[in-house]
Formats: sequence, structure tokens, C-alpha cells
Amino acid sequence: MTRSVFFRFVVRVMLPVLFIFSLMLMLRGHNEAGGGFIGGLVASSGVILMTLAYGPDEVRQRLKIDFLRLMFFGLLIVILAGLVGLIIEGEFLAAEWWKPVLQGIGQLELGSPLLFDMGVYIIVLSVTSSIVMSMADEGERMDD
Amino acid sequence: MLLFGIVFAPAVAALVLALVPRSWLARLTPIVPAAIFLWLAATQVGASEIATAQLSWFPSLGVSLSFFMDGLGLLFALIISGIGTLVLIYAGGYFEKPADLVRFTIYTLIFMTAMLGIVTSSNLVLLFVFWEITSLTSYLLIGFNHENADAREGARRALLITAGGGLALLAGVLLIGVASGTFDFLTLLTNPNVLRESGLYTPIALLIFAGAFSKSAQWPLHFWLPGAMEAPTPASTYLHSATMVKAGVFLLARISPLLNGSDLWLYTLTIIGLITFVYGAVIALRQTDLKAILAYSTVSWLGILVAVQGAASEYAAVALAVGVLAHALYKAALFLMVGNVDHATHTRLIDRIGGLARPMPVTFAAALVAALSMAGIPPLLGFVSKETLNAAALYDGLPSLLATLLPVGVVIGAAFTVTVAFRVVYDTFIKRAPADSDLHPHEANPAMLVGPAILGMFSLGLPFLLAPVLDPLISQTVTAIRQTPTSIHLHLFEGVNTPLIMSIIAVSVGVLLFIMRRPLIRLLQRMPEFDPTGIYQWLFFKALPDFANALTIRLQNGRLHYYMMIVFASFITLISGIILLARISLLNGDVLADFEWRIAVFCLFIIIGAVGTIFAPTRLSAIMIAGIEGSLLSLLFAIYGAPDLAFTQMMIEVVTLVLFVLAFHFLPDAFTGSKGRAARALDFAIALGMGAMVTVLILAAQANPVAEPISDWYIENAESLGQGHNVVNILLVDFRGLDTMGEVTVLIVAAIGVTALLRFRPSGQPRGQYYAKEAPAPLQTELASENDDDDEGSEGKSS
Repeated sequence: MTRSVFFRFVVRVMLPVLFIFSLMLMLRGHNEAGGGFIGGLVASSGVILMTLAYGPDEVRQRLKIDFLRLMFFGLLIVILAGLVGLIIEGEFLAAEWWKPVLQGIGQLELGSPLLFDMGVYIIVLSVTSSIVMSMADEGERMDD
Repeated sequence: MLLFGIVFAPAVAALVLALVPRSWLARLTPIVPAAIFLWLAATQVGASEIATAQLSWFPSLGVSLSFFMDGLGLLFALIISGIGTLVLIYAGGYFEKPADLVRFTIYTLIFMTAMLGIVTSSNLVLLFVFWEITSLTSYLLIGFNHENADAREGARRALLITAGGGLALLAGVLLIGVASGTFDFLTLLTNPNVLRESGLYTPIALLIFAGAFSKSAQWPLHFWLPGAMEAPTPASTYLHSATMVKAGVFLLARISPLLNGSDLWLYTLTIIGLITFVYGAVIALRQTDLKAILAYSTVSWLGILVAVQGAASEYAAVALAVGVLAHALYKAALFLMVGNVDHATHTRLIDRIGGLARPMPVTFAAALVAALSMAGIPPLLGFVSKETLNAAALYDGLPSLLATLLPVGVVIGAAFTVTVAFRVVYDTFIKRAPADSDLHPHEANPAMLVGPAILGMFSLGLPFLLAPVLDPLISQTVTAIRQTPTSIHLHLFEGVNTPLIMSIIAVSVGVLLFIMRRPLIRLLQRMPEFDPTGIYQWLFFKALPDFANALTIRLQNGRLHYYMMIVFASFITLISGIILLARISLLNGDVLADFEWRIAVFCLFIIIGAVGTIFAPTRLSAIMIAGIEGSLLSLLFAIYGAPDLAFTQMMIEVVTLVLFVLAFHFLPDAFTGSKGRAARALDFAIALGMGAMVTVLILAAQANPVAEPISDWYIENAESLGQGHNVVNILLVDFRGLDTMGEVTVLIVAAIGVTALLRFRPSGQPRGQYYAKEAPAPLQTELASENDDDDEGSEGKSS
């Protein structure tokens, strides 16, 4: 694949925006449009752009993330979020909330559903990215 | 709560041993079953109350971890823990490699928990779970020497038969749940006629029979048990003679108060059991491998334990209780004896050994006691057992056919059992060794003598302790089987009566047969045998794989296009069939009430786009148009107020587009060329039909509301229960969190599949070359070769 300098530049500018946007989508998901699934997809579109711009090998070098492992980490988080409910209420996946009031800032709303959503985010991100990267690997080899 | 401890203590010990795999620790494990045995013997024998313990597990399914310890469970639990102790001690001397000892001990301890679970479970689903665990541990133990092909084959056969029977048991248990509304055995007992009065009685009974007969090796499902003799001898002793094979007998006794009394119950059990009894005893005689002899004689004895249960008389219950105990004691001793002989002479062929009484005096003494007990010679426990058995066979409540068949069968089977017992001891220990043999036998080490010695002492001592020890235990067991308080008094000698005369006839005939055994055995060995193994082999290794092959080649030929055609065509057939047959109405007044012109125009665009994809000249243009279609669809979601859905759909379109473009790298550019007119017409018809069916489904769902839509509940409770405003997201992460968890797991599995398919291909195929650039993929007929279109399939699903 040939990669234009202009495309690389656009990707470089876009990447941080995309990742921040994806995190925002995930965090606000409980009350407004968004959530872990969409957030994960947006983040993976960032990885896809990177892959198209730089090629899978360079992406691996830069990100230093093994997506195949990361997805299990995500699953672990999902299970942990479920265990929170099991430990506190005796019911797997029961939602638990913790809402401390921070002086002068407002109320913080933390809960096991948020943790759960983070796990979903990580899984969607890593599943999509790993599939795209292995396909791109194959494309690289064919071009050689 | 102590019951939980009893059932799960061995499993905990197994876990500890798995974490600290040291042989000295394995040698300490007999303490666990020994403690269980002593506790049961001290507190439960003669107890007036039934101990119970309960913990909820799947309350919504009526499945709970509930245990109870009645007389029947107690008798079996004593055998399981008692013989388990001796077998674990024995294993300490039997295995030469420490790693083998540890592995064996772990499997055996897990098995012990499963077996204790079976005999104490009150919930029938729980019983089934433990039942299957025993099949699995049995599989692991038969295949213990997994480098030996016979061991693998024997293990697989045992697993197929017993796990198959386990499935029948599961079906039976589920039907019991359907018929009675509960899985709890103690609840069922409060209304013992509930199953007999239900229309499901016959299927329930037949399924339970299938489970029990396969586990307890009843003819014609017996053939896995001789194959199971590939297991190390301590495992054969414990699983395949003393405990696991009696699980089927136990199940019948357990379920008897709910099912017995019908002709089906009476005739099936009596006749199948009797055939097994006589068949096993006769076939045992013609074997030459000591373990095979004992295996067939175990089959035989299991047969009589099933047969006596046909008539649910008090005699039958007594015969069952004493018979289970006596058999466990003498047969375990004989198996351990074979282990010692095998250890000392490195052969188990009865023709190759002899004269072992002098070099192995302790083994000989234990084997002699066990064999005399097996033959039913007074004053051993086997004699008491045979007397009760004869009394059960003479029960005058039997219909006339069985009233003659049963006593005659019992005497014939018993006579052959006597012959087998004498032959095993005489030919192994007393007969002179063959002249050409080169044996240097030696007595086994002390660990391997403890078991046979203690078992022998029980066989010899218990008949003299009937009143203080055995009577309370047997009374409890009979009470549990018959669900009527019973007090039993066993006697070693009851005077000259018909059972005694039957015993005398059986022993005399047996001795006679023993004297003329050489020509008899030669005659038996020449006789053709009905061998279900052939049927089994044909079924599982010819018919089933051939059928699967044919089906796979037909259905999975590697073309994604073909797969989708089959899926869509079946979908169309099913849905249109249901709609037409059930006369489901598709329209009612309200459906068209929300009709809006702007939406209709929108849909028109989507339709035009769909038609456009058909005429697109290249893959890329087709996929671009499909992408635009998807975006239009997401706009539709947005119009109807589902921003989350619209957003997700949009992202999916983008990611799918990229995936497709990456995948197209591997495919030829033009994709229409070679297709004929007829093929395209068929594609068109299927596509049209699919669209029509989806439309019909939506209309039908709209026109026939079955219940209040649950979506209202979600919207109402999102804030109070889910503590948020975005209902969709709360649905995903909270209300239906378990579903989401399943879905993300599926995603992970799909990603692993794609990675594996792309990274690891069959050797010999050059990388990146297996997507032919020239021609469409040819029909693939070989299973071994990788399907190239498969990759596309899994991507499609996972994206």
C-alpha cells in the first residue's frame, strides 16, 4: 500500500481527537448518547486509520499493545464488574454505585456499570483492531 | 452443614494436592476418606433423623445444592469412603513413579466427591451433575496410561456409553421436573404417586433405565466394563467394581419409591438383570485374563442387583442392601489381589501363573476369604447375601412367569459364580505353575496388603456381628428404599429352608462344574459370542463419521455464497411455513396509522440503492453502495429518536467498509463474470424472498402483540434502578448485563478465530497465495484443507 504524506498528517492530527472523543463517549454513556460499545468502535477507527496510514508493523511498534492480550484484560474487567455485585449484594452483575461529593467540583458518580462499560470498550477496541491488523498483515505480505 | 464437608472434602484435598504435587502428600490423603468413614459410622449408623444440608444455586431453575443422608445414601457413602481409604493406601505402594501416584490420587479424590454427591444429592439435577463427573473421572482413569492405544480405546468406549446414558438420565430428570414441578427428591417423596399418575410415566422410566443400565453395565450395554480394565488396578477396584458401576443400581433403588409397581418396572428390571447375571457369569468363565474374569463376574453381580429390584418386596430391598455390601467387600479384595499378582509376576493371564500361595501367603489368604465369600460359602458375608437373594427370588408376590424364571436363573448364575470364584483362587495360587513359566514371585509390599487384609476381615467378621453392626445399617437402608419404617434381623443360619437348599444346589453344581472346568472352558471358548462391540464400532467409527462427512461435504463446501443461500432458504421456508400453517394475521388497523410520507421517500432511496448494488460492476463499487445504504439506515434510526443506534450503525458501516477493502485485496476484481442467468435468477429470488420474510415478520410481530412490550418497563425504571438517563446503555450494561457479557465473549472468540485462520495455515501452502487471483474458488470436497471463504464469513460476523 502506498501512503500519502498528506493522509499521514491528517491521521496524526485526528488521532488524539478520536481517542479523547471515544473516551468521552464511553464515560457519558450512562446519561447521554454513547457507551462502551460506540466508544470502542470510535477508538478502533483510530487504530484503523493508523494502520492504513503507517502499516500494521509500524503501528505495533508505536502502540506497543498486544490487542490479543488486551481483549482478555477487557473480559477480566467485565467479570470483575460483575463480581462487585456478587460480593456486595450476593448477585452477579448487580449494579453498585458510589457517589462521593467533591468539595467545589460536584458529585462524582462511580459504579460497577461504568467498570463494565470500560471492559466492553476495551474488548470492542481490541477485537476490531486485532482483526483489522491481521488482515492488513496479510495485505502487506501479498504486496511484498 | 457437615454434609457439605463430607461431599466436598475429597475435592478440596484433590485441589491441595494439585497445587502441591508431592508424593508424600498423596500418601497422606487416605486420612480424608478415613475421617469421613469414621464420622459416618459413629454418628449416622442407627441415627433416627435424616441429616440434610442446602444451599441455593440456581433458584430460578429449581436447582439447589441440597444433600441428605438417608439409609441408602449412608450404606453407599460408607462403601465409597471405606474402600476409598484402602484403595488410596494401596495406590501408595502400587505406583512406582511419584507423578503417577499424584495424578491417580487427584483423579480418585475428585471421583470420590462426585460419587458421594450422587448418593447424597436430594436435587435430581445435582445428582446428574455428579453422575457425569464420575463418567469423566472414570474416563481419565481408564485412559491413565494414555500412551497405550487399548487404554485410550477403552476410555473412549466407556465415556461414550456412560455419558450417553447420562444424557438419557438428564432427559428423564427433566421430564420428572415437567411432570411434578420439582427436582427435589424429598419433595417428590411427599407425593410418591405423582409420577405414576402422570402421562409421562413410561418415557421417564425408560430414560432412567437407560441411564442406570449403561452405568451399571447391564446387557447389552455391558461391553464397556471389560474394556475399562485397562485402568490401573486400584482404579478398577474402586470405580469399576466397588462404587461407580453400582451407581446405576443405586439410582434404581433411589427412584424406586417413585416408579416401582408397574409391569414395565417389574419385567424390564427382572429380565434384563437376569440375562446380565447368567450371561456375565458364563462369559466370565471363558476369560483367561484375571481382570477380565473379575470384570465379567462384576457385570454378572450387577445384573442380579438390578433383577431383584423388579419386585419391590422387602426381601428384595434386603437382598440389594446386603448384596451391594458383600460384593463391594469381596470383589475389591479380589481386584487388589490381581494387582499384587500382576506386580509380582508381570502377567495376569491365568494360564501363565500358578503356585503363588507359598511366595504370597498374605495375598493368598485374603483372596481365599474373598473367593469363598463370592461363592457364598458359610460363614462369610457372601453366604448371608446369597441367602437373602434366594429369599427375594422366592418372593410369592411375583407373577407366575417370573416366579419360576427368577429362582432358576438365580441358581444357574450362582453356580457359575461359584465355579469362577474357585477357579480364580485355585488356578492362581494352588495349581502348579506351567513348566515353561519363568516367575519369580514375591509378596507385595505392606501398603498393598493392608487393603486385601482389612476387606477379608470384614467379609469374615461381619456375619458374626450381624445384630450390633449390620442390622441397624441394613434396616436404615431398607427403610430408605421402601419408604416404610422397617426393622431387619439377619441370621447366619435360619434352619433348613428353601433358600438354603437353593444355596446347596448352587454350590454343588458349581463345584461339579469346577472339577470339569477344562473341557467346559474349551467348549465355551468355541461358542460364538453375541458381541455388541461390533455394533458399537460400526455406529461410532463408521456410520456416524461417514454420515457427518457426507453432510459436511454437502453443506460446508467452502463457499460463503452457498452457506448464505442455505441459511436464507431455510429461513424463508421456516417462516413462510409457520405463517401459513398457523394462519398468523399480518395486518391490523393500527399498523398503517403511523405512515409518514417523508419516511416512505427515504425508504425509496434505500430500495434504489439496494437495486444499485446488484448492477455494480466491481466489488468495490458494490460495497461502497452498500455502505451508503447502511448510512441511510442509520439516518432512519436517528429520525426515530435512537441516536445510540444510529451512531453505532454508522461506526459499524465505516469499520465494515475498511474490513471489506482489506479483504478484497485477496479476491479477483470482477465478481460477476462466470455466473449464468439461472444462477443469478435463483440468487434474486432468494434475496427477494428474504426481504419479504423480514417484512412479514415485522408486520406479524406488530399485528399480534403477545404481551406488554418490556421496553416500557425499561424506560420507566432506567432512572430509579439503573441510575441514569440513557436507557439503551443502561439496558446494555445493567439490565441485560449478562447478555452483553456473552456477546463480548463471542466477539473475543471470533477475533481469535480470525487471527488463527490468518496466521496459522496448513503447511505447504505458500503464504498469501491461497486466494486464487485467476478463478473463483473451486468446490472443495476435502475436510482437511482449509476453506478460504471461511475467513470472510467470520469477519462478516465479528465486525
